[in-house]
Amino acid sequence: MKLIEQAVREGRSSLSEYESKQLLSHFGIPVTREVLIHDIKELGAAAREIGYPLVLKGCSPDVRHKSEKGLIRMDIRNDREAERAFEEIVRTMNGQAGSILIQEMIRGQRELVVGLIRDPQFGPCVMFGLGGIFTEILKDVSFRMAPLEKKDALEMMKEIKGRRILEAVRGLEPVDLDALVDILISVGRIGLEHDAIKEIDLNPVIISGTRPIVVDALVILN
Amino acid sequence: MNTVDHFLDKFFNPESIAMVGATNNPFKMNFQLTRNLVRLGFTGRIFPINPHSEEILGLKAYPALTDLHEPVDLVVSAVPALKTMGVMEQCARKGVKNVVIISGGFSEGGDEGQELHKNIGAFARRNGIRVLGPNTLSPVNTSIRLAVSFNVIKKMQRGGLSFAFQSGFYDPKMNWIFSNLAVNKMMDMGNKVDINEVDALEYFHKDPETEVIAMHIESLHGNARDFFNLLKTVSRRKPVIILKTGRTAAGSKAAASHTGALAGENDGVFDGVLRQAGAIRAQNLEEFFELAKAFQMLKPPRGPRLAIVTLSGGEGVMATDSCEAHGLSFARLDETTHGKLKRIFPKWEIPLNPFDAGICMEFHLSDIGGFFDTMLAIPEDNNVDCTVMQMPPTLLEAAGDGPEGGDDMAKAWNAQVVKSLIKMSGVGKPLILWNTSMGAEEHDMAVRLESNSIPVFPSSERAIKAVAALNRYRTFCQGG
Repeated sequence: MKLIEQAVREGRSSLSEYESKQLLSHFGIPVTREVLIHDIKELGAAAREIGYPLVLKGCSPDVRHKSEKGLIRMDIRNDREAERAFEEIVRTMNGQAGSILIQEMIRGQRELVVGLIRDPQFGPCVMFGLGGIFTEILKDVSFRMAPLEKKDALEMMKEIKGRRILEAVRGLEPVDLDALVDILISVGRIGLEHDAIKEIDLNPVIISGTRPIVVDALVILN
Repeated sequence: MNTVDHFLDKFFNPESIAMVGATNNPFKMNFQLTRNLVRLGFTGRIFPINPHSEEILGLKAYPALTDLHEPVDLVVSAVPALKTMGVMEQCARKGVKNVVIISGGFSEGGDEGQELHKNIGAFARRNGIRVLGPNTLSPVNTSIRLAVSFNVIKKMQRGGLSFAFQSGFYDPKMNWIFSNLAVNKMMDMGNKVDINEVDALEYFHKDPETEVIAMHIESLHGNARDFFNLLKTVSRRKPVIILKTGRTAAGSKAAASHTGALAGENDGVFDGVLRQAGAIRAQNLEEFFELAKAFQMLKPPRGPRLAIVTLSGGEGVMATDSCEAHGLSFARLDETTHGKLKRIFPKWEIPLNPFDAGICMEFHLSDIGGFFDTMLAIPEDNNVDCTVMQMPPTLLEAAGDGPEGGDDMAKAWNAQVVKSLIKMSGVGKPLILWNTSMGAEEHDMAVRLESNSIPVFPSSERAIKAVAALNRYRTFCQGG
């Protein structure tokens, strides 16, 4: 893929969120609708294209922990809030190269993580587990070696302690498991087809209604 | 003799063995290496090699390998690490293709040992010699009464279970293993200078005498993806039980110093990969041998529905807890089964599952055969896939008039219990027992049951864990 080759040529260690999601889309993985803008003059048109409520994020391959660095503004309801968020993020980025991502706001109570690691022995392996802050706290994850079969993906989901989150709980609808299976299989494929990729971190993958959507993504290069 | 089309066959089925470092001195470790072969009646020829003896254990000894003018299938080298290269050179001159290196002091023996390890490996590759070890005690093949071991091996129980270890930890347990498990072959991969877990798995896969494979692995030396693909293929035909140690950071450091390996991998990945390949992971040593026993003695149940038979209500509750925790379900027994069992109920109504046979038995001690015949209704019930049962007591020791009378009655009782349980397992569904107090009499009964493929576990939880593993394996084989 061109965008990986280019990033490697430029000696970068990762893809930006925007680039990462383009790669994911190419493999049929559902991601947030989003537009990348470079100037506040483009903000109005972008906001209209995506539609409020919005999320604004600072987007740069050099910035990894966006929420810790204060580069995310969520639930932006109108033009005035959008402009203020834009200016704040630009100020926080403090002249670093990068742009602003205008993203649809996905609502959902359930957050998952899907990842790819390159195990020193088994090569590309896919990870699945509870997402958001729980990934770090509970480490409730399971692994399979790529390529994955549908059966493998389904078993990974059953293996985590928090597996009931995928069921119809507390008035929520059961998660579309086939869609989740496709994501896991595709992430494994990316790892097998692109040696330049060292790690992929899709966190959170938010369940919107029944559908999983990748809300944040990071692709780390070798 | 059974032969398998694989280079390891000469290690397991050699027609002749040269024992380098053989000795007449019973106070040297090496003494037992030759003595075991002689005493067990190894079917091939044995050539002891020792420059200072003309005869060892009644066998003609040779000063050096090169003085032996007979072909040798397998050389077992038990000389110190620093002398091993000399043995390798003699092997090359003599055209020997298969060598087992018993001695330690190679990759686990500091810089010098590591250098030696590398040189031995390179020399073997250059000369087309296959090497098992260094730092190994093996191979074992019960079919031809072959055992390379420092322990005095008393007897071998032949069966379909084959082991591959990455350590000699089992060697002190050798007699326990042989008296508890029906073993076919054993191999210790040691420091894996050449032969590794992929070779072992390939061989056991092809070997028609091996029905169940149990492997202990500290670290993978072969290509991990090849190992996975092979494991997946093998698992569909033969169950593979794997004990993977070195799972914590400290443990993997210990493994590195132990076999000179780098076991610094992610245990979560290893765990996932084993499930993906349909292998059965044992979490610890007890489980490793228990699962090996369960898979060797039983075919997987047709489904997850258990009938539990206890002798104490309290044990029944514990068994019920384990059943839930391990993803198995409770069989709902039929109305007709209720009708049959009601005959042995106490004066009141009791539940069928878990079935408290203890309270029923109290009223039927005089007709224990009839009592067990009635209980056949449990495994025969169409809703039951597997029966897990507490081992009946050997409680009639004290009954009867004198000590002899008591003994006879006890013998008769025990024989009746064993007979009845064999009848129960004859229904064709797995019957697994547990017994929490293993005294001498109980042990005797357990041995008799196990020789009839009715495994006995030390607790209901461990019995149920074994059933859960059997059940998961069935699901894997059915592609679910």
